[in-house]
Amino acid sequence: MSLRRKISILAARLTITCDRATQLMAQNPEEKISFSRQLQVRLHLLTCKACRNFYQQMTYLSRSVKGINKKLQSGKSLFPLSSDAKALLEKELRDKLKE
Amino acid sequence: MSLKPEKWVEAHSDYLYSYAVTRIFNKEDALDLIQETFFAALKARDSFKGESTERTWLTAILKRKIIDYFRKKTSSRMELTDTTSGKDNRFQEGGPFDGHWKQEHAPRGWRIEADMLEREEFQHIFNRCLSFLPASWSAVFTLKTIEEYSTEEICKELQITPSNIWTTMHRAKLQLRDCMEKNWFDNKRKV
Repeated sequence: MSLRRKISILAARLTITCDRATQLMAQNPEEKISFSRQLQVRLHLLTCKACRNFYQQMTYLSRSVKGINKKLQSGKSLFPLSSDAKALLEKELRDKLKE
Repeated sequence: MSLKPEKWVEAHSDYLYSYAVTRIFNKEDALDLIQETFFAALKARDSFKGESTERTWLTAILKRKIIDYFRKKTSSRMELTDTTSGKDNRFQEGGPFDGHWKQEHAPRGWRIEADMLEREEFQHIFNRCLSFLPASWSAVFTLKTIEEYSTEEICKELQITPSNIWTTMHRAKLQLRDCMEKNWFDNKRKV
């Protein structure tokens, strides 16, 4: 295999589109992607500002999910039930208890 | 430790309701799920061994209800493949920049403030953006990202393939990002 061919294969493996890069980034942090794919993403990010923004924003959105769960566990209700809804639930539960 | 069903609404309904809304993103359906959870819990009351707290036990029942809810929502598998096939329209098609961002869709920088994640207003908008996702996408997003189920479990529950999951996650996160940019970060920029 000629050197030129080796280089072009290497370049094709290392250069990915933004579509592909964001697809791989969207798997993070839920799924661990392979080392070679991580490398492809890193190299892509070196040359692409928009995807660097995307990367930071994905990290931020993951932290938003964690923030909401933290709030939930803290006991402060993000979405409190109305007193009407509670009263109705109480009544239905009481009726069921009598059965 | 024993169950006190007469205290459930007072003690746990706000928590369970918030839990459901932040998973299924629909308040009406969330209320229905809470009612079903309480009824199912009453029925299964004898199986409570007191090994966990009452709240943990009720939450486990609700989690199961949430999966069933998503199964119903995604029972038409076609929707998932239809909406995720082909290239996302944020990227160029053909030409030398095939697969790269269209200029108007390229992510711009966000001005991030330190305490933003803790702010209720931010969390409400985030939840609202999640509610705009197609039902089958939010099913996958919730189970994977929020409930942290394994890929295998989600495939089994929703009858989809791992590649369905990752294509859907890609689309869901692209849309979520756009929505947050429009409804939170762009607004901040103007202020």
